[in-house]
Amino acid sequence: MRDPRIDLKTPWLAALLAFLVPGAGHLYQGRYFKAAVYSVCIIGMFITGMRMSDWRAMYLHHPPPGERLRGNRNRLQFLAQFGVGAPALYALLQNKRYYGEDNVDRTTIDAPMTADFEGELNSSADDLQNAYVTGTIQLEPAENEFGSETINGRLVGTREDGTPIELELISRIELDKPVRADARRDIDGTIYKMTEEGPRAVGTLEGTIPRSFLNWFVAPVETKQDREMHARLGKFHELAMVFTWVAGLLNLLVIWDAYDGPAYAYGDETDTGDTDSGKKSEESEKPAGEDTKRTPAEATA
Amino acid sequence: MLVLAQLGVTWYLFPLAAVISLVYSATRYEAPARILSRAGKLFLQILFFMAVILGVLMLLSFRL
Repeated sequence: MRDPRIDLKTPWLAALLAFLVPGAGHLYQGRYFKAAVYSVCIIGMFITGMRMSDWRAMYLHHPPPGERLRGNRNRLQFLAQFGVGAPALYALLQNKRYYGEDNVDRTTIDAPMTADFEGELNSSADDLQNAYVTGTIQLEPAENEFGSETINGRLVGTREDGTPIELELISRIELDKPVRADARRDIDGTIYKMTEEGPRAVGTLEGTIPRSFLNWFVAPVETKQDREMHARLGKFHELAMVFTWVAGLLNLLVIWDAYDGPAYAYGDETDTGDTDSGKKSEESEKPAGEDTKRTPAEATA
Repeated sequence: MLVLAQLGVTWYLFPLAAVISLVYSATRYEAPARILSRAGKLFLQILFFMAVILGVLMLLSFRL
């Protein structure tokens, strides 16, 4: 029997809010202490786990029928994490986007774009040397000499030693797929130098540009990325997974608490020893009477 | 986090046990004082249990 001092308001709505954002259901019900405990503990634990794993602890690999699996099948792991709500729902969407037909490496773009670039310049030309380059890259849709759609670009930046550099990239620019579990998006292209005979290839540029948060967050981790992560993080990767699993599983208890109230009792009753075994104390089972009219503040005093 | 990372994986047990104790106790009771006291006891119980397991494992691996 619910303690009449606890106003659960609309229980199903509170449960839904608790699922979407741990603590939000209790905040809606005015149970502020619990809302703070749940949000700090569960969101904190989830974020800690994600941070420890370079934000790659949560994802789902569930390819559509006929599609090759590009990572570890992790349905049980995801099931444990699912309780954290909103990120898990977004992971479902990211799985769908990742395995979508249009999520492939790109050699064309729809509109011009500008992005911060960092990467390696490889060239054997006299006035260009191999160097690590950072700067701004501008890309625009173009057509090659055969009339096919392609990407042209221009990089303005500096080498490691601080000397400025400007490079022309004419066609043959390839961009990594839009949705992938990496905050940086690979880009590579051929560097051209304008000569009297026309543009001449003088080297290659391989690097990365930022990927939008919504395109990498909880996106499926590929086998190669997973192996690299295991090798780099070791036991901390396992620990990160445990943190996210525990966060998801604990939130299931929280959702039930938002829906049906605390499992044992209010907690201000005389300790008869029954409450810890799951039985509510006699006092808490009384109908709204003298004691049950007390406010929580009075009750805890 | 970096400090904890240098100390090793085992030390993450403490915040993990604390969070589990606090959230579990909060889902059992409503009164903050009761939640905190039960969480404290549960936290110590978890640590005691883990210490016992550690002791058993150390005994079993003695001179191996």
